[in-house]
Parts: sequence; structure tokens; C-alpha cells
Amino acid sequence: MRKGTKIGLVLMALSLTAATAAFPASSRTQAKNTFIVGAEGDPILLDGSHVADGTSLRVITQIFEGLVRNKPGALAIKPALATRWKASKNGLAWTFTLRQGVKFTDGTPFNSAAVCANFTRWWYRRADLQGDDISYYWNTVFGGYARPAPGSNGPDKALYRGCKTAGPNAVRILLTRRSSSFLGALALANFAIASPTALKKYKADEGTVGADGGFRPTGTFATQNPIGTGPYKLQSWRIGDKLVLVRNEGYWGPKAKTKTVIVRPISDTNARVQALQTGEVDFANNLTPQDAAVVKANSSLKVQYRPAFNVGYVGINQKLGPLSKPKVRQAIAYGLDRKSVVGAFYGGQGQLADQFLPELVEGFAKKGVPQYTYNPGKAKQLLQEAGEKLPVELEFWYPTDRPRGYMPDPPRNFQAFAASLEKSGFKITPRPGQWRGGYVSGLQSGKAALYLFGWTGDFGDPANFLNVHFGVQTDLFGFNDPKLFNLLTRADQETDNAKRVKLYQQASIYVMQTLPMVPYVHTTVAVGLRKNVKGYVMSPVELEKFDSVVVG
Amino acid sequence: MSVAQIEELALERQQPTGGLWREAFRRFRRNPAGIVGVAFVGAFVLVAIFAPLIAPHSPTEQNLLLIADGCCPGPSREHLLGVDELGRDELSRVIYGARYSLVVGVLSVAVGLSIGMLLGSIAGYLGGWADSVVMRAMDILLAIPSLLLAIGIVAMLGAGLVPVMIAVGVATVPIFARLLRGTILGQREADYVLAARSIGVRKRVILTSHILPNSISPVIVAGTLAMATAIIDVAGLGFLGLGPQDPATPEWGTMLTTADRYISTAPFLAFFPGLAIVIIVLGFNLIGDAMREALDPKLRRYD
Repeated sequence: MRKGTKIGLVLMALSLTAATAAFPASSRTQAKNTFIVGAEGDPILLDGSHVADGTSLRVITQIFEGLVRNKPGALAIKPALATRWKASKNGLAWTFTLRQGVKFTDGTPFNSAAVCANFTRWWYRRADLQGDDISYYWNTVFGGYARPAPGSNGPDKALYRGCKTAGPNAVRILLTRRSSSFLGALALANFAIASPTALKKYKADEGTVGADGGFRPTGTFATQNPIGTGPYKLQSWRIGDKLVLVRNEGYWGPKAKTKTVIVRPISDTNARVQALQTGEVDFANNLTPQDAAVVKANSSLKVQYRPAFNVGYVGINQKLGPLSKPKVRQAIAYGLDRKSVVGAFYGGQGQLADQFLPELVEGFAKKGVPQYTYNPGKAKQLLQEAGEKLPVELEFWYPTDRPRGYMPDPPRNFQAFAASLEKSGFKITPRPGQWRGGYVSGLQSGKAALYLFGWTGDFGDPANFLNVHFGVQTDLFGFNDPKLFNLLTRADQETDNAKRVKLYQQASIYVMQTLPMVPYVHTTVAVGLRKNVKGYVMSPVELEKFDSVVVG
Repeated sequence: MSVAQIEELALERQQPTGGLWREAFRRFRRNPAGIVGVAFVGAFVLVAIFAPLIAPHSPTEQNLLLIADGCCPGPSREHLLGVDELGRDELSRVIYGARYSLVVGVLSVAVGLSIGMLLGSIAGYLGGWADSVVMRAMDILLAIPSLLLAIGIVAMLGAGLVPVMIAVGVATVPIFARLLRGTILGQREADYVLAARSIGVRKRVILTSHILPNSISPVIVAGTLAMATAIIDVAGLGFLGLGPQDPATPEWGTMLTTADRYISTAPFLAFFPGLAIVIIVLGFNLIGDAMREALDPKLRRYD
């Protein structure tokens, strides 16, 4: 789950006022060689190891590269700074062969020592920087530190064991257990390789932790001197005004097609759309379905969609009421009019979900998934077979704020679902809550019987969907099914990709048979572009590269 | 002029006005603004009472098939004011919404009025330390903006219609208490009170049957005006998500909150509940102003 942090919000609020003041009606004399991005805010920091928000990562991914990357527009893993990789027989050591002749933009060479220096930096992270606000992705993927802070995992529980150079052009990443999901994660900007010389020179790790949990560096690495190997480098950044990237002329691959990229923070969605309409920006990120319709209607603008990489679901807590009975859960699945909700509320951006995984993710099962088409009669019958007296009373939790892609208007989803469940033999008690004000914590401490929830993937691996939710017993779902837990552990440990995919397909079907929740939607995310912008390839994980963009 | 005519004239002059209330009513009737106010409020009361007969559809019946492209088809022959984000008939929801706003408005003002009058008459008539205690407490309440105070109370009691009613009511208490205390202070030293006291009428009786009837008119005016504020506050609390817990409830403020999300594509969803609030609030304000003029002794004319 990509997190917008509190500093993010503050910066956004500040930047909106500043941005509108600084750009009355920007003159666009330098067009064609410049691509102007209307971002939803300023980046927090330009150091992937210290942030977890999409706004920062999208800029970082232009400046830095990891060992591997996602194929543009997809999740398949492709070579980047590593040209080949191979797991050892026992799956505990992965050897990466590095690309030769690559230089960081400060002129220092990229080699195995540089890679291990970066892994060592993450592994020996200072205790106060180990929290999820700063190190979410390392915690999620590698799960521990050499010197853990209280509350963090140590080397005994971590996945990561070490990084060894094997000559100047190969490294071995050592793991404590078999895992295949970490490879997909290495494509994230969080695990991009920075110049070790610059990290030291610009004091990347010196600083304090702010009251909001974010990192406040005293060095300039993350604000003025982010040095990587990517197709762009940072020219200047004035917070609240603009961030300017220029082409890295010494890039090892095909050079970026547009010389300059300007990132402007415009936090207000309406203002962003207006800036796109007036031509102040060439690209506006994250449109609501309603705004997308406005942009689509404008002949000089166009809409593009990020492939669906999320899931919205109605969660079920099996610890509560009669929900431990499979037939009651099936009745819920039959009693939710998912097709109408997805068809009516998502403006064509939603796909009806028949399983937890979005179609894009490996492990999506094309066949054999049990289907639960809306059928109130069948739902009532199942409830009676389960020995329940109708109507079955349930509390249904839903958030009143924080709309997100898979849930553009949570109360609306709730009301539609509540109405269809009430027709199916249930009696629903509404339980509204505020996302940060007790809603999520209430769910996670197991208080909600039924609830609206969802997930946006962090990286392109089924483990990031299935294992995260159903790999161990949680208070959120409240069930204990060793069969499913074992299946998912085996799937994550399998290094043969074909076998792994099969196991995940099995798991995805099994989840729909046992119904720990009922998924209903996978949604695409809309962005707006001016018609003359070509070559902007949408990324499911929101990390588009600007080097292929041409402004005609 | 015959004797009979003179007698008639004399009789007429003998009962010049028929009492404060009848005369006030007479003057009220001649105030066009007041009549408009009564018409607005009267219409809403009728709509609220006969909602099930007037509303063309159920206010809670959803029809998702009507929703295209996210939200929401506008006015049509079948749905005169369009449908909301769940395909519910907007007109029917505005009509049923009148019930919530009127009931909540009236009851919350009743809460505020009864507590406020009690405290105000204690402070005004007893005076002394009772006066100081009550009035300082009212000063404290007045120092907090009324909507903020209401939010605080709802936060304490939990969201819902009843807490909203209590909260808005409590927020109006100091207005009534201060007003009544002020007028009672003026009346307390009046000659008729002195007369009553000198013939040994008991304090409570003096207060309830002599002073109160003579001090009540400004309170009634304030009460009518407070009704308008109360309806706005109730809608405001509903807008902030502190209103009815079931989001299907057609309360105007709650309807405005949801409309906010669709303001660019379906502005009518905000317009109609907003218009309803404006009309009824305007109605109460016009009535209040007309009543103030009607009850103001300085404007009393013997024609």
C-alpha cells in the first residue's frame, strides 16, 4: 500500500498556494524540448530508500535505476543495471551480472562495489530510521536489519543476509530463505542504486526524524544532489514551485527524447485539470472518473489509463457472528450486487473482480474460479441451510473519507451493497468511520464483521497481494487455514517461475472457494495529457519513465 | 350623528385593540414580508406532513441502472429533479428531507428555549449570586462559536440525529437565557410587580403569571430567528458527517456532503437541497422579523 505521508500533505497544501502564485500564465516558448508534468504534490525527498510515496518515487525513477526494471507498461521483469541473474539451486543466493561501462552522473563508475555499498547502507540502517514511514519498502521486502531497533526484526527474521561482490561486474545477494517475490521488488525506485561517493559526500544518511515520522536530512543528497545512473539528472528544485530535470547526456542506453522535464506540484485536482486545459502543463496525474470525462470531452486533450493493479473488496471477519460458517460467507457473496456497483459507479474504469489478483499479476487464474453472480434467492437459501434465522444481523463498516481509486465514493458503495444484502436475507447496521480516525485500526484489531477495504499493489508480484493478506492468521480476517498458509509459503519459495505461477493460480482459486473476503473491483487510474504528447507509457505501479516522451 | 351612532363609536373606542396578541397579529397580517415567510414555512410544513402522499418515489429506493458514467442523470420527466448518486429520486429526497429539517429544527429550538428560559428567569428574577453563576456560565458558552460548540457536543454524544438536536439546542441556550434575563430585569422593578408584591403574591406566581407574559415577546422573536439558524446548523453538522448514521437518510445537509463529490458533473444534486435550506431559512427569518415589528411596543399604533 503506497502511503501518502503527512509531510506530503503539508507540502501539497503549501505548494498549491505557491504554485498558483508563481505561475500566472506560464509562457511556453521553450515548448517541444520540454515536458511539463502536473504532479499531485512535491516529492518529499529524492532518495528512494527514505520515502514510500508515489509522488517522490515517480521523480526518483527518472534519476536512478535499479538492478532490474519493469517492462514499460507491464510488470514483467527486464534487465536494467544487471543484464542477467540466476538463483542458486537452494534458492538462497542470487547472482546478478552487472552492465559494464555505466557511470553515475558524478562521473564515478558503477560496479559491484557500488551495488553492495547500497545494500549495506540499507541493511545497516540507523535504528530511528527503521519505521514504516521511512523504510516501508525495505521492511516489506527484506523484513529486517543488521542492528534492529526495538520493534524491528533482526537478522534472524530478515529475508536479507548479505551482498557479496564476485569480481567487479557481478554481485551475489544472499537470502535467509527461498523467496522469489523479492526480484519483482528490486524494480522499485526504493532499491535503485545511488553513487556511493555522492551518498558520502552529500551526507545522505545524516539528519533527524520529524514529528510526522518522516526523515529530515541535513545533507543535500536527497534535495539537491541525487546522483544515480538514470536518463535524467536533477538540475534544480524549488519546493512549491518546480523541479527541473535535464537529460543525462552520458546515459548508457538510448538517450531521453525530451531534453527537459519540469515537475510542477498542483495538489488540487480541479486546479490540475485546469492547468492541463490552459496548456500550463502537458500531463496531469490522477484524475477522478468525473474529471476524466471532462478531459475526454476536450479535443486538445486525451486520457490514458494505468492498468488495474488494485483490488476493492468486502472484507469478512470470521471471528465474528456466524461468519465462520462457509455457507454464510457464500450467501454474502451471492447477496452482493457487484456487477451493478462496478457497472454504475466506476465510469468504465472498473473491472468486475472474480478473484483477489488483478488480471495483470502472474498467478491470475483464467479458469476454475467459482463465480458468485448476484442472486438474493440463493443467498437466503444458503443462510437457511446454514441454520440461520432470517434476517441475519451484521455490522457493516465503511469509511466516510479518503476516496481512492478502487473506492471513489465509499459511502455510495456501502449503500448499494447494504441494499442488495438486505434483499438477500441480511439486516445491515451501518458503521461509518474515518480512515485515520479509527476506521483502519478498528478493522485491523478485528472489530468489523463486514467492511469495505482494498489494496493497491506495491510491486508486480502475486506475493504482494496474496501472501500479504492470506499468508498468516490476521485479526483483519480472523481465520486460521493452515492449508492456505502452506500453499502460499510454498508458492513464494518456488524459484521455478512456471511452477510458481501454477501454485499462485491454485491459491487464487482456493481463496475464492473459502471466501475470506469478496472482491468486487479492479480499477484503472486515469491521467490527462495534451494530445501532442506521445510515448507516455502507463505503468501499473505508477512509476512511468519520462525518457520515451516526445512533446510534438 | 344619532345617539346610537355615538354609542357605537364609544363602544369601539372602549375596546381599542383587543389585547397585545390580537393587535400584534393584526399588524403581522399587514406585513407582506411576514406573509411570504408564513407561506414558505407553511408550504414546508405541509410538504413534511404529507411527504408520503406528495413524493413521486421512495426516497431510499435505489436504481443503479440509471447511473451512467459515474454520476448522475439530471432532471427528466420521470425524475423532475434528477436522481442522486445511487439512482434515488432527488425530488422525493428533498421532500422527505423537509421532515428531518423541520422536526430537528423545532425540537432543538424547543430544547434551547426551555433550558434558556429556565436559566434566564432564575437569573433575572432571583438576581444576586444565582444571576452571577448562571450568566457567567452563559458567557462561557457564548465565547465558543455555536457551530463549534455543537460539534464538540456531538463528538461527545456520538453522531446521529438526536445528539445533533441536543447539540444545536444547547448551543442556543445562552441566547435565550440572556435575552429573557434582560427583559425580566426591566420588568422586575415595574409598578405592577411592586403592586403584586405589596399585596403578598408569592414570588413564583409573580414570575410565572406577571413578569413572564410581559417579557416573553422578544424571546419568541429570537426563537423564530433561532429556528433558521438551527436548521442551518443541523445541515452543517450533517454536512460534516455528524448527522444521521445511516447515509441513506434524506437529510439536506447529508445530501449536500455527497453532492460535493459530484459537483462538477451533477451540480443539481447540491443545488436543490441547498435551495430548500435557503427557502425555509428565509421563511423563518421573514417571520421572525415581521414578528419583531408586530410585537415591538414602540411601533404599536392605535388607528
